[in-house]
Amino acid sequence: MSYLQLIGVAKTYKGASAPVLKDFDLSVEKGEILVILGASGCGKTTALKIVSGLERQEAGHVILDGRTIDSLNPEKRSTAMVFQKSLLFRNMTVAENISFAPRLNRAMSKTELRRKTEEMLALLRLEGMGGKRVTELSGGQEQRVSLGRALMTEPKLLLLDEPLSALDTHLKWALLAHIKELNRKLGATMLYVTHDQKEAAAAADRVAFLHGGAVTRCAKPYEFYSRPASQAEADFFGWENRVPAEKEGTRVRCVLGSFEIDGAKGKDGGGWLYIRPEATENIGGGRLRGVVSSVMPQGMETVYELLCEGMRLKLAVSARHAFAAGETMTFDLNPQMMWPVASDPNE
Amino acid sequence: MKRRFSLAAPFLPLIVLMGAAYVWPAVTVIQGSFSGDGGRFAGWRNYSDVLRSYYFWDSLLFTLKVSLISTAVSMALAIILALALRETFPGKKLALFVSQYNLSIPRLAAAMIMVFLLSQTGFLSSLAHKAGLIESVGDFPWLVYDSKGIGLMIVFIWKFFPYIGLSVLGLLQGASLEYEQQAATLGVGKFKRFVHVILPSVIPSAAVSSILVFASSFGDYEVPAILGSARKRSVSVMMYLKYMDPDMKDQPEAFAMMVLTSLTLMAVILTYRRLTASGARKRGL
Repeated sequence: MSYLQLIGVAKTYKGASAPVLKDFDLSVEKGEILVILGASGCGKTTALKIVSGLERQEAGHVILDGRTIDSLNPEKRSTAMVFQKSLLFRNMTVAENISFAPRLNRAMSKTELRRKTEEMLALLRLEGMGGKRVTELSGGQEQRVSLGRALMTEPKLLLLDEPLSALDTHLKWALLAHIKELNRKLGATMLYVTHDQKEAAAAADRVAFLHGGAVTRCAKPYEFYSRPASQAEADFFGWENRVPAEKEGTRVRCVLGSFEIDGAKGKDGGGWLYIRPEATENIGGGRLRGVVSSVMPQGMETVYELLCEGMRLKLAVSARHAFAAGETMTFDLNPQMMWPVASDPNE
Repeated sequence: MKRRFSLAAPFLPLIVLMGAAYVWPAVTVIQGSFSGDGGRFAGWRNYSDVLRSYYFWDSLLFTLKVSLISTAVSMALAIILALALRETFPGKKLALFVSQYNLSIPRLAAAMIMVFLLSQTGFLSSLAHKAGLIESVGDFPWLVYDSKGIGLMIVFIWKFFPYIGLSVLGLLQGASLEYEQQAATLGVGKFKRFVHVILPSVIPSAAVSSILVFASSFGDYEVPAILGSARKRSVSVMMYLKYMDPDMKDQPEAFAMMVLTSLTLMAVILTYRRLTASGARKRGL
């Protein structure tokens, strides 16, 4: 049995025409970081709030460490949550914030509390800052204090609701590395929610992709990048291009050519061939020709929109090559960065 | 300097009007408080007469007591009201309406309603008599025209607590809720959340609203004029009676009282603001 299980959870908000979650199943193993990933408004935060007890589900069960916790109030669930905003108590110092819950719950002696707070400050790399007012902290430091405050409760499960989305890029990656380090050092089980696929890939042991109110697949991040199982997954994970195609075994034919794709699964017949923007190779010498319609420099690479065999493609090319709008680019496509996906009957 | 003047120029009519509305009456009152027989300058005599008067001190302390109790009870009720109204329950809209409709009732009407409701010949006493709870309507407790100011406090509380409640409710439904949820997910129980998270977050806002409540009840005339006792008069009623004295000889004392009560009110508000500001600084707000 998994450490955390959500079985058949359903939730419809008052006044909403459709459920935000339906038949929502999820399993999280002890000590892992599982990231729930999905578009904004798809129900990720609702799922997290149901686990924390801040929202109640209409159907289904939440089982944590072998115990059904459906009827328990948030304070009784042995979970702790870190929100997008740090929500630090402004009337308290850094140390008082970190020791907030065990101090109020008298969970340990004063000496032990002081020692554990100091340990946590060290773990958060905030040594010597315990006496500071939280208003003096940077955004990244605030979020680290928030993380420490949650970890001080020694939760069975740490819930992270887009904890990095309010931070600058460099702070974001630094704090993410820190979260992974804490997970490794403390063995904390974490359920992490984000809408950012790059953040998910960096944070997760496994990713649960949430679409249409349910988890459509739970797998290692790389699986989503290399082998999307559905149009929704492909669209979400940066497979920018799709071309109508015919699949026959591992061979896929489309207007751009016939490609042998290793490991291609699924039913034969009509569908889509998804192509990652990074699939371009052999620039200036390939057999495909496209007319550049727009140029978007992005540092080390440039993203071109071009028209090729009647299809509009978005391709990323090293900045060493420079094309202007209206010029013709010749290139090949790497079949390892292509994947056939069956048509979605609902689309 | 020129630039400042040109920026202020469009507002000059308003500034002049405001100055006339605030400064001129203040100057008149202060001037009146120093005048004696035949309009001659009387020095501090009116002030010393007022400050030596037992009735003035009795009235001032009575007014302060009524205002402070009304404000404190309004604040407590407002927080309870706001906590109740932020929950979802059937009939919430009706409850919200009932708790707010008295804001729209003029104080004069509110005082009259209390007379009909709470006096010994009022609705509640008749009801209690018919129900056999009291032998005669005369046994009904004095809730209006009483020297303890109960009727005054009931009206002030009834009129003002929704006002504080609405400002607190806004907070409870916004940022305060997020903090409370955060505390809940950290394993902190309901009572401790109320004491350590909700109260510190709503008290600054409730305090600001309660200053207005205090000032309004302290300076109110209509309610004490209708519901007050002849033995314990609020300062506003006392000032009015002195001002309206037929032979006008008490008018300078009335002016001196106005200045002294205004200074008392200012002192209370400044102390209160200083206390809440230092509290806010401590909370890092």
